[in-house]
Amino acid sequence: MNGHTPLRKNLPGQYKYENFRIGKADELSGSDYLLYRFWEILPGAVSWSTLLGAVAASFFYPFYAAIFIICFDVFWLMKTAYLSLHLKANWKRIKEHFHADWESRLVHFKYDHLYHMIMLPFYKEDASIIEKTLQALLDSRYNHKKFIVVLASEERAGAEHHKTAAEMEKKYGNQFDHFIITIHPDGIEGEMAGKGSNITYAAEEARIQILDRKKIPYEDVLVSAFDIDTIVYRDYFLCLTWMFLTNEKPFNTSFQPVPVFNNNIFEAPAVSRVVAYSGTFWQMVQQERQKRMATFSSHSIAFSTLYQTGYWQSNMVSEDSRIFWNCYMKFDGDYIVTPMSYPVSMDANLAPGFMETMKNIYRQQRRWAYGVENFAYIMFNFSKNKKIPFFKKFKIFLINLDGYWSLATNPIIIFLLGWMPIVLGGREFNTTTLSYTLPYITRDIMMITMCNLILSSMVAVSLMPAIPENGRKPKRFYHIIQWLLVPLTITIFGAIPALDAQTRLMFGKYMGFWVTPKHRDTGKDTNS
Amino acid sequence: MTPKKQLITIIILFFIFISVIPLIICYSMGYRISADFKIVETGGIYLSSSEADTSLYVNGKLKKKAGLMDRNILLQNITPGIYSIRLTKDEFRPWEKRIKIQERQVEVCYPLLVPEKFEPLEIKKYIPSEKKKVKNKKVKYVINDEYKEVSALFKKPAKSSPGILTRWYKGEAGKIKTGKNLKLKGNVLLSKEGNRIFVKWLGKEDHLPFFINTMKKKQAFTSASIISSFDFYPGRDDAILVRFSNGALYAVEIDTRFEQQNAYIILRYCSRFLVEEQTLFFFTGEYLYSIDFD
Repeated sequence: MNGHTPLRKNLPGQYKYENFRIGKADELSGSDYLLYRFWEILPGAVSWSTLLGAVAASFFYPFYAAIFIICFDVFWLMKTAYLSLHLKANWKRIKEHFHADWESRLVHFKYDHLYHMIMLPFYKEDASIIEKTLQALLDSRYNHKKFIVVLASEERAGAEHHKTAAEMEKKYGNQFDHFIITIHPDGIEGEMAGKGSNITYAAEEARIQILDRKKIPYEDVLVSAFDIDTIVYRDYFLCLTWMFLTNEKPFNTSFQPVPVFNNNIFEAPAVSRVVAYSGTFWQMVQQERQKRMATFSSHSIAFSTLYQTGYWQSNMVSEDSRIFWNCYMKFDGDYIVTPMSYPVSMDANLAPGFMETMKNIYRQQRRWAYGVENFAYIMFNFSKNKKIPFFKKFKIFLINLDGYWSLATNPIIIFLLGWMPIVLGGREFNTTTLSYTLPYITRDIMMITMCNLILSSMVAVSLMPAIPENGRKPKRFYHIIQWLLVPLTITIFGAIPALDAQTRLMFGKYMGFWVTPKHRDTGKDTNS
Repeated sequence: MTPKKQLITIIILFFIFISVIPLIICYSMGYRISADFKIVETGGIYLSSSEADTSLYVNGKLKKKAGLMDRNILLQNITPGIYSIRLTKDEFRPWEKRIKIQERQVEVCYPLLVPEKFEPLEIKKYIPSEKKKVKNKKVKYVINDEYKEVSALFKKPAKSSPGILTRWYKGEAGKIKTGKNLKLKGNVLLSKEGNRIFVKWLGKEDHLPFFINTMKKKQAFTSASIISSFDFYPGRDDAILVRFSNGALYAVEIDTRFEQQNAYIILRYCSRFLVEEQTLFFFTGEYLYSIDFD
């Protein structure tokens, strides 16, 4: 964080969204500070209480702990079955959307007035990565003269990278209607260095330099906030345009594509692939549960909505999901995510060395899991905003708390704590039939649950580009059996980083924005 | 998925959940449905064996075979009662026991499977020298280093009490000064008092093994014949080797539950013996032999 965030004292009694764009409790004082801290502490406290409670129960009440574990195993099986049905449904929908003729669907609509503003924030990434992203924009089926490309660089990245941006402008600038480079100044007071502050600055610059000068109505601009490695598929903008035009409330919604991590999938190790696709699958499942969705990573939104909301929050890490909650509060709960069920391709985590890749995966997962910071924001705003119905607030409270709790605890309960009653239960418990059947029952339920991985591997293979059969190894086979790593990946790269992030937030050790290094075999090691 | 479909799926899965849970819990606690469709409570037997590929017979009927890699056998669904169990393995003497099975309990046993035949290897006192043979000269014999080392073990004095750190780490077991009449393996202490061998668990009560089953000192073995020496069975802490005054060496299990204790003859005669980890060394007169139990 650069500089000090001014404390928000004497917040007015009547709720006004603009006063509550809070990044962390430190920005508040008095009872508001305490309330915000409470919500920051709650997810971590619930997760740790569950885990420590399970260990304590295994020691003091092993019988009840064993019963709980059996119930939990069955619950997990049911949950997996439920989520798999969603995955399968979304898989079907993605295939349908991917092959649909969006141009002909748009024939009866007038959309010449619409502009697409594409935000491409970058830090120290290699020119080849930016070029591929820009080339994909040019390869997409849409009138490129309706594209406003904003290449958002960072002052702190240094002159070398500003030069890269200038080269891109020179090479690609005239192929789009507008192409601007913004340089986000370093050290703005109250900002956290990261993607949120960069694109917020860039969006405002684009508004002043292009929209206002050319008198383009804000309602006619759709902003796609991408990462620098986001490669759009051919019909992304046609699909987005259709969804915008057919939406009942197009200014009260964000459009969420499905991120697939195909850019470098064959260069990434198996662990990285499994983690990447697990992320994709979660997004696919969420696409089928619209009311549970928040924006994630690359997303699109009307400029007018973005402008009214005050752009992305620049004083926190998870700006991609926070923008949804910002809009939700701004429109008093009348805001939703529209699932596009259309993919965009991004980079899977990859570094030059295996261990470095593992470290980067962990850090990236921890940063994503730090989305738990939204919980305090949501609950704090709920406590102030009286226009949102209580039932709606309570539902969101449960959905979010369950989400953070499940991520941080469920794999640990399933794969590690399942054995605790036997280890800690003592001699008396260890002579019971329950103690001897527990491992067998847990194993059998897990085996049934793992059948879901067959579907996972099928979906993953179908989402991947054609597997290059250039080596001796039977690659397709590897891409199927790699799914056996799931118990390991969801614990080490799911639960533990989530618990790490929640614990940091719980103790007020706020995280900064960690830039994921980008690496492709053809390119240099760079950052995004 | 439409919200309606989601709701229907949730309801179906919820009903599966609440129907399956009681069944799984009852099953895991040992409840079964009998042939006449009555709910019966069952128990089980768990055999923790040092051998794989064994066969378990209950009341003379083969009930379970352990795999080539499985050393342990869990047999469930046994109605409470007393059962005659027998564990067999090719080239091993069968192990037998009468066990009382109780409802919702698993009886844990540590079968002592002793090989049918032992093939002792002689450790020669003298072996030919490895130095180059000189023409027309007799082969020169030298004392065998292995013989020397093993003989030294027989002469070794009682193990002294360990240092402070070890004593702290090992607790009570760390303070024991072992010797001819006191043997220690892990937390299992054997002591000989007259013609009786006692066993005592020195570890925490929570880790008390079933073959001892009490925190008090318990008689593990006695005999009408005079016991001249004893030690732990090679590689195990739940069985003893006992040498009688007539030189016969027996293997005896420590487990005295169910009023039955198995004993097997190992050697008809030996003048002295000692156990070093997995190996039994013994003298027959001046001849030294070893048997590897690994």
